[in-house]
Amino acid sequence: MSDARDERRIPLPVLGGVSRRTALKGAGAALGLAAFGAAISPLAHFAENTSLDEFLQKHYKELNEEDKRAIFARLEAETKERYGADVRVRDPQPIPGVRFGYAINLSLCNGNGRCVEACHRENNHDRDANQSYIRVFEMPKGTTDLAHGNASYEHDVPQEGKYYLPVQCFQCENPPCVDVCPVEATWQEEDGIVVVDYNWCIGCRYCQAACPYHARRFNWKEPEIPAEEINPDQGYLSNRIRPAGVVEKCHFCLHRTREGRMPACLEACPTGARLFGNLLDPDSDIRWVLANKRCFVLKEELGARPTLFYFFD
Amino acid sequence: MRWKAGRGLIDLSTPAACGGPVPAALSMSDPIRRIMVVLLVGVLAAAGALLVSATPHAGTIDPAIIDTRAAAPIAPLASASRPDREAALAAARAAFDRSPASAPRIETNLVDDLGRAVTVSCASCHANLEPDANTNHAADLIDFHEGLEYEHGSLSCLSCHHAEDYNALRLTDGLAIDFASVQRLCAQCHAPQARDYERSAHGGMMGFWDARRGEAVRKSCIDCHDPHAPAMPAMVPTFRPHDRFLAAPSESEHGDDE
Repeated sequence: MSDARDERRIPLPVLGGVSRRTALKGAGAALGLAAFGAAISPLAHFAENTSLDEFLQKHYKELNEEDKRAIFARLEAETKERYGADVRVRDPQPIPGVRFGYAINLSLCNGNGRCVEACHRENNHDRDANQSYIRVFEMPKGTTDLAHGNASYEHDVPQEGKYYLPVQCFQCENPPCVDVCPVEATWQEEDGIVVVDYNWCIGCRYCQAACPYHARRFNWKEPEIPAEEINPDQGYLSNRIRPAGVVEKCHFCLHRTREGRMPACLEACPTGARLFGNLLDPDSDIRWVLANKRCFVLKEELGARPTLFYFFD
Repeated sequence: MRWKAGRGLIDLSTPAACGGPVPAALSMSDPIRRIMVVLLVGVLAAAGALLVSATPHAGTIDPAIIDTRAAAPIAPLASASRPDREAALAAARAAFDRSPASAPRIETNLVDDLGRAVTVSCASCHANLEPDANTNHAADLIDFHEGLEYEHGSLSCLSCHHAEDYNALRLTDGLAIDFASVQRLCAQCHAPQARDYERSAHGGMMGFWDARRGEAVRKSCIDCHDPHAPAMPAMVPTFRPHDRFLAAPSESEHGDDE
């Protein structure tokens, strides 16, 4: 190309004496700025819904008692403001010498789904999504491959030739979901429960992809719950109302179980198929079951070592 | 293509675009660096906007709430006395004998002068009736127990009800036991269930898993099973979560990959 051609200016009616190249550059830069602005616009939305305190909040493990009091008070105030419900956010700690185990008697489970509903209510799930940490699969006898299961059955239970397999977080001893979290927003506690700091989670959902059991859930939107249905007994790491855009999971109802009570799903089970206890107590019922029943876990070959066991009798 | 040093950015950043003259240090020839500068300006502007919009929320927490909170200690646990397995078992055995409290009373659909429902004990009628050991179908009950649903193997009424004392139950050896001990009666035939029940593997758990903190409670056999028709009835499942993993597997997709 010749210099003369480069220097040629094409008169444009709007831009007057500006060269086409300059005009294109200007348009490109304006488009770039606009695209960038659009890309970061969720940040502005984020700022609307996030107080500075929340934005600056530290990781759960770095919080002292005073920090926690302020944070819990803030969460309670926010729940009051957004939902009109008086709740109590607490932070029960693991009991020394306790490692939780769960067992489900598949010979008794008839797939009635009361556990699913109890979890939904106990853990303040979004009413619209009907979300729950438990899925009950209707399985053809002879396989434990979840691909053959159907969790959306609506007919009477039990059906001939089927068994029912409730699946929730197994609180694995070697949890793959924890390894992949890029910000350490999820970890395993002393009593074996894998928890999530909902205020630290960035919502990348790597953990969801890593879990071989589809046990984690993503909170697609801010939960909608009528004030009178909100469970006021809340734990910071368990059933407090989660913000939108974070991952959540079963936590063995730690706000109940760390005070000696049973998980909500167990209390709701009308067939008595569920069994909960301390794996470190050799006299516990769960240890008797492990020693005397033929227990198994799902996808044992993956080496995640679940602490929720199934058995038939 | 040839780029003219010092031209383009100045042209781009005329006052209309950036609001002022651009420092000489930013007047660079490399287009990529120019874009970087534009992005940097954007990021700074966004960060500024974020801070400005976030700041008004900083004081939303009323300090009084925190103070109230500090004054309200977490309530102590129900009972945290001592770890004692025997105590827990004793409590569970107490639950074992919990239900029913006494021999059942039969409703008569009558009310007395004070408006209370009139009930009678089994013996009110059966003390004057000759027991029939051959009655083992609900259809045979034509007088009073008509319509009773009965589906419990080949047992007859008098397998469990005591022929000489209708306010008691009968063990297989003929011993009369009260209704409160119904689990002893069931356990005669259902020994594996009774064994599992002792260790919570049948019959479920209620109350506390931790004996240090509260009592374990277990249901009685007849809380879940109707003694006359003990099979667990068919149930209607609760709602299903709306979940993308919940679609029923299609037969073509999973039917023949065994």
